[in-house]
Amino acid sequence: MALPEILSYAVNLLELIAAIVALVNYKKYAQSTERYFLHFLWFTVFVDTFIGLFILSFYEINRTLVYYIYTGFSFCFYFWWYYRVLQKKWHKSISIVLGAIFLCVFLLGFQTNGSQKFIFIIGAFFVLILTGFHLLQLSNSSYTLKIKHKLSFWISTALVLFNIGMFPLILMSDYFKVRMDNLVFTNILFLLNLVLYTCYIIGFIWTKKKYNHF
Amino acid sequence: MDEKEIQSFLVISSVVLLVIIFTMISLFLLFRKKKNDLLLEKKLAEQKFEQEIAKTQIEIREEIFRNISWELHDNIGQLLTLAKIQLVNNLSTDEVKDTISKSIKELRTLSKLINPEALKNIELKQAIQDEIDRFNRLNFIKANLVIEGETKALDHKTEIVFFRMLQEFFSNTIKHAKASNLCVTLKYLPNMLMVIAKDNGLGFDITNTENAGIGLINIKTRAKLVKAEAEICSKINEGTQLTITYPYQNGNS
Repeated sequence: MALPEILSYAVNLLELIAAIVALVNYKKYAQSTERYFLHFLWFTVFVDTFIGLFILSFYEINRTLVYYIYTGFSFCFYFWWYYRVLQKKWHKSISIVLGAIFLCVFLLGFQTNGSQKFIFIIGAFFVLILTGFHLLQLSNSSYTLKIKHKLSFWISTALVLFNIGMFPLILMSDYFKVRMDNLVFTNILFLLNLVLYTCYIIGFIWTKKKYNHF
Repeated sequence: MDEKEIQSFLVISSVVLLVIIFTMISLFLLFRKKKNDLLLEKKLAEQKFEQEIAKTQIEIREEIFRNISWELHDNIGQLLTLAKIQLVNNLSTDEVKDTISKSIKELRTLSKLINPEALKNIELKQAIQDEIDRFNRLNFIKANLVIEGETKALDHKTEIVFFRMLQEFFSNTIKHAKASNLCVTLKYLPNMLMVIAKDNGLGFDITNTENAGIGLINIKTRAKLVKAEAEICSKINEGTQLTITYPYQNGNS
């Protein structure tokens, strides 16, 4: 088995582990909006493993289109989630505006066969703004004293690290003319996924019920 | 991977790693700073709280000493003077004995108040009862204490603050209100304590800021200190009412 293939399976495995850990610890955050992450993680497992590995291998379906839709959906989910967790009115308004802009660009790209990279850059940039708001909100609250028990902190940290890492990867892979299926790209993408899902897993394990009220 | 790919891999992965590490360190520093700021703020608030409690305790003692001095002069002093006059006028020994016995009784009651242990371990219900008994004994005012619900022990510091608030209210009632009746009610509800003190004195115009003397402002400030709420209602010639509301969840009960 070639290395890119192994790394791709490893990402599937990471997604599965994160979804299982989220399920096992569900009671700790069942009251908060973070509970939707459980559904989102299982949806990711379904798309990436079930559709990505099995369905697409046997049926001739456009893989790029499937992942383009998945990328759009996942960013929309993040915008919606941040709309729910952000407390200041103007933060909420910004999340609506960013979500709306993203949706327009996504639909436009859908019609014009736009690239996944472009939509990802836009989405990642918007999500980074919202994670910044959320981390600032947390840093100004009393949660700072026991921040490691707050699940939304780990989710935001995971999203910041993943998206901020994706920027140089996408921009520089264009510069060095590295294709998305190239080993260079897959290696670094695996590293970023490792960071993303490790943060999720730590968050689900360390979180405590009393820290997840909203 | 060929040489070119290895080179691009090294460059891209170094930049990605660098960006991730920089972000992680920034987040760590931000949250550590905020945590330290919050801890410092909490510590200062705790110190301020302790200072206020100490100040409240001193004020309670001062008020008690003022009462003692008053009682020695106006009550026991008067009784002993009466005994002296009775002796000078050669009245019957039974009458003199009676007066002296009364003085001794008053003196014993008073000595209880000066007991340092009693001052240190103030219990709200008992402290109010003692004050009310004193008012009735000295015929200052007709006072009574009503307790509703099952008594619940509060944090000792909270009880001290509540007692001082009531002491200030009583002091206003006696000094300025010219009231004949004073009623204190402790309502122990399932989720909160309500302390209601009501007199039938002259009352005052609550909208007139000049009337809201330092004592009344102090009562409100003190309530905030223990996360309680104090409301003062007054109507001219109808009396004044102080209501303290204290949800148990706001403090360690």
